[in-house]
Amino acid sequence: MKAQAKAVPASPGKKKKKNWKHWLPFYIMFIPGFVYLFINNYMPLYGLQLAFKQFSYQKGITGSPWIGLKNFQFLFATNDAFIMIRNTLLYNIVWIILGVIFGIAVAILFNEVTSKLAKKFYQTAILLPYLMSMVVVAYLVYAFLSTDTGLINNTIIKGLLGKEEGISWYTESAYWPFILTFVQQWKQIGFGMLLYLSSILGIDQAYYEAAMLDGASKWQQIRKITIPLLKPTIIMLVILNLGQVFRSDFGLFYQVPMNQGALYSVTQTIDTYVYRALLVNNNLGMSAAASFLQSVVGFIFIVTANGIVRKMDSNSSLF
Amino acid sequence: MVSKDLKRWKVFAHIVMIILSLCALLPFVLLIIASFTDETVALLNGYSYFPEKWSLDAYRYIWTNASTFLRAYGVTIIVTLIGTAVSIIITSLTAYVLSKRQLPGVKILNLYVIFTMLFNGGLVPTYINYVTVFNIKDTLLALIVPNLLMNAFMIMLVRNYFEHSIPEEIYESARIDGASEIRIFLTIVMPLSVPILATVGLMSGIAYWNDWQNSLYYIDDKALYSIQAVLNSINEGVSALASLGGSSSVSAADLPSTTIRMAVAVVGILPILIIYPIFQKYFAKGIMAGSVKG
Amino acid sequence: MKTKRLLALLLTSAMTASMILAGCGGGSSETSSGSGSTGSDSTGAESSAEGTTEGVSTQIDMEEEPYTVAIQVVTLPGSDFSAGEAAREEAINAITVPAINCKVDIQEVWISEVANTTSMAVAGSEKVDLLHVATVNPLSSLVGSDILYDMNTDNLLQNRGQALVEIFGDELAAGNVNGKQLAVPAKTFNATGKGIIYNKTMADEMGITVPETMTFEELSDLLYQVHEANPDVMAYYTGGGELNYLFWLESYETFGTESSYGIILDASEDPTVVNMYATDMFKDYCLQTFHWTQDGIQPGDPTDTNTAQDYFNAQNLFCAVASVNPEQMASWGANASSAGFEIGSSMLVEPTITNSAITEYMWGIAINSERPDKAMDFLNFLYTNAEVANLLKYGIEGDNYDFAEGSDKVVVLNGTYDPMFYYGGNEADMFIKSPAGEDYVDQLQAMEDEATVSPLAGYMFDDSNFQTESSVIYSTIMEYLPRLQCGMCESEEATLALIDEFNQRLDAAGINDVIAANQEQVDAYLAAQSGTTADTAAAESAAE
Repeated sequence: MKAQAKAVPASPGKKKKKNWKHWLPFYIMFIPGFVYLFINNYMPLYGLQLAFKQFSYQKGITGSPWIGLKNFQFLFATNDAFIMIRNTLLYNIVWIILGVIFGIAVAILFNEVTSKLAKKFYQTAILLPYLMSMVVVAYLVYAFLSTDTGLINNTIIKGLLGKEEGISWYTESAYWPFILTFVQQWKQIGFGMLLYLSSILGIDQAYYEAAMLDGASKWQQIRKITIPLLKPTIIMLVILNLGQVFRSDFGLFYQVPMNQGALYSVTQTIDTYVYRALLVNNNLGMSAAASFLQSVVGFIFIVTANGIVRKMDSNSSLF
Repeated sequence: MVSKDLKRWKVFAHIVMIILSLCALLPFVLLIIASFTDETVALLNGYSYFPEKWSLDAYRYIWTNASTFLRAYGVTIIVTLIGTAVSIIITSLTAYVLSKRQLPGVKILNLYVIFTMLFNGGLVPTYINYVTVFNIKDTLLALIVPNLLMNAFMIMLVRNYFEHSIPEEIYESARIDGASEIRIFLTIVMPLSVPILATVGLMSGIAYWNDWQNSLYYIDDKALYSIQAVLNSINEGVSALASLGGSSSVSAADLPSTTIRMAVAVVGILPILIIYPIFQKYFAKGIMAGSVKG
Repeated sequence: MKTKRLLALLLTSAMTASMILAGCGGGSSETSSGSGSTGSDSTGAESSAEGTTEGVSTQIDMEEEPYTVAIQVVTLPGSDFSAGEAAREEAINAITVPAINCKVDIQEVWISEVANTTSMAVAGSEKVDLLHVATVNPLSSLVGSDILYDMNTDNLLQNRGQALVEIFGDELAAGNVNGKQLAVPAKTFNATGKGIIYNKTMADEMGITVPETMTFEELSDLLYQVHEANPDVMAYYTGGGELNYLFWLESYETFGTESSYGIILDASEDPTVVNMYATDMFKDYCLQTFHWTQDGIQPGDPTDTNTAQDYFNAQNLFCAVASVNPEQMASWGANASSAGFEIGSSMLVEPTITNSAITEYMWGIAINSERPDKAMDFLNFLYTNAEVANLLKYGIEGDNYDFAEGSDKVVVLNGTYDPMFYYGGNEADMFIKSPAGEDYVDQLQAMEDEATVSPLAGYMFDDSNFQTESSVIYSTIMEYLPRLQCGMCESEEATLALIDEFNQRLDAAGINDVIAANQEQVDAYLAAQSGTTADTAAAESAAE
């Protein structure tokens, strides 16, 4: 009986009501994840109130007095507010787009390689930057860009181009949007490839075999099969990334430009500003306020993006 | 025609991959060479692929602390193995449930998970929670559980795979055979999901390997420090002391130099480089096709 | 609609969780502070019954179960001295239990972690008593929070810290912020001169004699001489320019990190707080550094992260700013001799005892300490009993150190225990760490006697109402100071324009409000210091 009831495929069109006994195992399977997230993420949430409080070690988080929005003031206390918000948003949006394009392109090309040895080599190599800490990356970037001893100035600009003077990379803010973008993509590309690669590997080979029988070129296969099948993954990753649109990789914006004042106009993000501002007094309320603001903006972005996607294609939406 | 096209694609793929690999490898080689560069030469001339003078001093420094490093490696290996295994299991379980779009209340469960990506209580409340409520300070659990075990990003990634890469017919045919949901999950879904599980395993493994914050916050007993925590503290100590400047009564003589920091980075990355190619076979093509047919 | 409901649900569940936690956290912190206050209350009652002094009893209760005092011992990152910890604790307990009825729990912390560890341990109501209020976790950054216990509560310091009161005297005021004694000095000798240290071997080779003391102008002349003698050598070190080196070159009283809260140019003459970055002194200094960079005296590279030590060791640096005192000279000297040269020093600022020197190393009691009275007992005992002080600082003879040949004072450490950032105990009675010699304490004492004491040595600005301003001011300073110190501008005009821009940003950040508040507190402090002089000071500031 039971087996018969389930034999009917559950197509999205006509829903077949299933009883609770059928669903019970799923709820049980959800328990470990539920408990973990509850402990790790939900229980500490009471800390959000710190954003609106003057934190007192003696009185604890709940006992500290409320001070309204005072903790948020430092974020908007200078003309930097516009610059850091602009930088944070623009870099993130550009990088989300580039991440999608490069991630997919590299994953597809990697999948074309058939030699096992070559595969091992490429994948290990491309993942290398992802394994390095930003502190080390900052040293390496410095080794290339340093005005006096940098490899680029010494070998390319003075050597190959024969110029007398090298470029003073760390004082010219015009270069840094490109340098930061390059470093970010260089570091993330291995990881991005991995995300799309697993989806590509999940595509049934039968599609390609059929296409090849029809004489479709590789390019046509990519356009007509791979990319459409990757669409849910792309949408999901973009929406998830939009949730982090008000946050930034601190090391990338602080350590890689060596914390140079002359570059602040293009390297100042909300996170670097908060770090610099709180270096002196380590105020828990103020850092909670900054993080709260980042969460709220991320929340608005993610809900909006998800809403738009749901309108267009409800199957791809995240929630 | 088709085979010519294929060949061209293959050549193009190799060219791109070689360029990318070089982009990644060249700085890494510089990192290794830097760690073998004589300190004075590095100071005056910067780092170069052909240093004027080589030196083993940085590794000698590490060698003198060998016992600390070995113990820390041990801690990290244990934590990474356990953490990654548990992480794969609960991530895939959770993601599997969320992938059932007909499950009553699944939208709430989805939101429950996604919400954690956006809002967090902050470091201090999290710390107080783990230390006072769950008492995990100075235990191996403190290195495994906080923040690293599972995150919404990975759950969504796996959910997406379950939803879009495993054909619904497979579930149905299994159910016709009368298999229970747990059985379907273990014997059909998991084997079909090797590529994504390998991805999750790799991401989680790297996260555990690279983690130093849990050691920093939750561990007082230095014997339980992970390798990255030890390495990181060496780097951090340098900047902490630099901020004291000339007013510090401690001379900078006791500080590790930048070449040592390079060596430290190499020591942290090398083990992953050794293990990764072995792990890599799970990304091989065709697992999917094979198991569906079989 | 649906999303809203879900959100509400999520929020309520989060709230419930918060409540649960709040119950736990709040409860535990209350009990701990509660037990602390009842403890002192009961002893207070005892003392009033005895009729000795007000507040906590001056007598130590020897009958109760010995309390264990946790003390932070701050070490160099990467070091691990836990192996001998139990033995050291045992050796200390053998002395302290019979003497003051308390035990010790050594908490080793790496300097890179001390700020974090302290703040989380106190917030999480963990066992901590004596805190390292120093180096990267200084009193100035803790004033705004209430992490430290007020030692004036129940007259604790007066009644149970007699030795501290005796040793530090007026210097205790440095830990007193707005009437609250938040910390006490840790180092017995706090006098220091400021100036430069230089490679003496190099100077001899160049035929240059560096006088014992000099002025800023003379320093500049000296640097040009050095540059002329050997243009390949870096005459002067600036590094990244993040620390204000003027602090070592001119005499003034400074408040806040990198003078965020202003400076007083000459405290004994005119206690007016001014914005350091708007002074002529700073302007002249920046123009000078601009020329230094132009003329190749200093590298002028704000991306430089190497330390002066690195360049000294590479024999590529002539001089760098430094504190000039026997301790610094011993440590620089030891390093220089291993690198194969001799180090010399020259003072630009005569030895003084300033607030910044005293507050560099201090001890505080955590607000959540269960028994502040016992923490005070231990701290007080540490400064009377050299044996305990030596055990904490140098460890156990034979295990951790041996005496230098022919000395029963100078110790040679063997590397198994060396808590570099720990200062506790009366240095006058303690062992001396080699390579310093037996006359080390006399040298320290001589400098202490010679030093002038700043009238504001005991003053600390209470910045708790200026958290927003202080953070913005500091980040503004970090944006401009490195460029100016490294002389990065293209011309004198550009330098002056950048200073103007810098000051406009500081004004916008509210530096003048902070300075005004600082001035008020300075005046009040000076008035409280001495009635007569305060009247004139107040009249002066009123006249302006």
